[in-house]
Amino acid sequence: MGKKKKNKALGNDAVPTESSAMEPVEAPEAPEAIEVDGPVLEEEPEGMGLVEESAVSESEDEDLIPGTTDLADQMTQLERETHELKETLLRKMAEFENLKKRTAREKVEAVRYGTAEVLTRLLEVVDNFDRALLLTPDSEGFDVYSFYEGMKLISKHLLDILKGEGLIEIAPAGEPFDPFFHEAMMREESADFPDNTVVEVFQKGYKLKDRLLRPARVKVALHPEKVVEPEEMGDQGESTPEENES
Amino acid sequence: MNYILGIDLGTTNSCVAIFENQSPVIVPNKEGSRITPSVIGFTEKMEVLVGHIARRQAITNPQNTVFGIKRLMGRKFDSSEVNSMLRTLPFEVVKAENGDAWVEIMGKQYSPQEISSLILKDLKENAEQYTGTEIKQAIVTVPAYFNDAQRQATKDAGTIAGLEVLRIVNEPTAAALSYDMGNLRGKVAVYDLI
Repeated sequence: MGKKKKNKALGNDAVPTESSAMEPVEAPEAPEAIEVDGPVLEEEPEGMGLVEESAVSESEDEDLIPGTTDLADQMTQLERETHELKETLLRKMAEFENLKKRTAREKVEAVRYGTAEVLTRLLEVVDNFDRALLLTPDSEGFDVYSFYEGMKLISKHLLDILKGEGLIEIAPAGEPFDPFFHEAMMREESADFPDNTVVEVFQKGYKLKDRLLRPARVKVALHPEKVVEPEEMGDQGESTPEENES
Repeated sequence: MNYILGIDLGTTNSCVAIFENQSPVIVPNKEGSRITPSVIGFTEKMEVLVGHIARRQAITNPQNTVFGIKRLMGRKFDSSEVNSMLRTLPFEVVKAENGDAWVEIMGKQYSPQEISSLILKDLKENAEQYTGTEIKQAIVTVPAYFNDAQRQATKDAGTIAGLEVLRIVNEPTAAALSYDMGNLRGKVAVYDLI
């Protein structure tokens, strides 16, 4: 091994202009194998004999050029380092691939089974409904009012569970319109409310912690004084932004 | 890591992706949605609202909510396309000094490039937040029928948003490229329905 490396270092010195593009197989004695590629080294064993011969024949040169051994040592060192770095790189790449695969798998599992905990808690609500529905309106002692009270309790229980999971209700009646959490479905002229006040909530909105799940769908007050403006605009005020989209 | 954004700047919705680990990743916006409506709203206090938020307040603020700005990109005010649009748009379109179609919001005029840049800037910020790095370059898609003026306007919009637009890619080309990236299952025809 050491001999081979020496020879290569030698060759490097002896024929500096030799094209590195030359194929090692075509000219085994040509000392162009400056490349420290691991794979190239492994492909060479057939040529080894010849290479070693040339090393022997040129051994005089080795003595004539001072410092060659140092260079050869350096080369050996560099080759070893390159080899080690390559090994490390390959290992890291494999590790990263594995990590990527595992993360993807875990994500799929998290999505598939992530609701398990919440569902378990919701089962209590299902149980309550089951119990309530054991009674039918024909049952003996069925009382609409206590049935209604029961439904209210179950509803509250359900909302409590959802709120415990971070659900926040958005019911903005009477508040100023806020496009960050409300969606304006229509406007209504009204002198009773300040301009841009939510006068009616068609559908409540919900947030999960700080993220909006669904905006509240609302009707927004338009103060009569402001109505003048769109009239001035003529027929332009009629269309809605959702139209004419491709 | 130097990310280059891939931006679909659409008439109705826009979308941004980054390329990571040899595959494209769609960047969700602040609301968690993978698409952002191409809508810009200006409030009375001159705050700029972008995307879903702008769309949700459109009915309460029609004159100051701009949508479909892509249809005005690089077009002359006197062109037949702009003329036919004027009747249906609730916001005001005006003729700029160079003859281009601009929009006027509360007395201030904006070029379609500026309006588009507000969308691009929002997409850029979302991607920066998502990746945790500053992003300065992008590739933007345009309809295949876009002429030079419209392509240049799209590039300008990027520049205003602080993005160097490395390339403008035709939308059907982008779709075809996606199939080259391994999305191919069987034979595929790509066509651009305007």
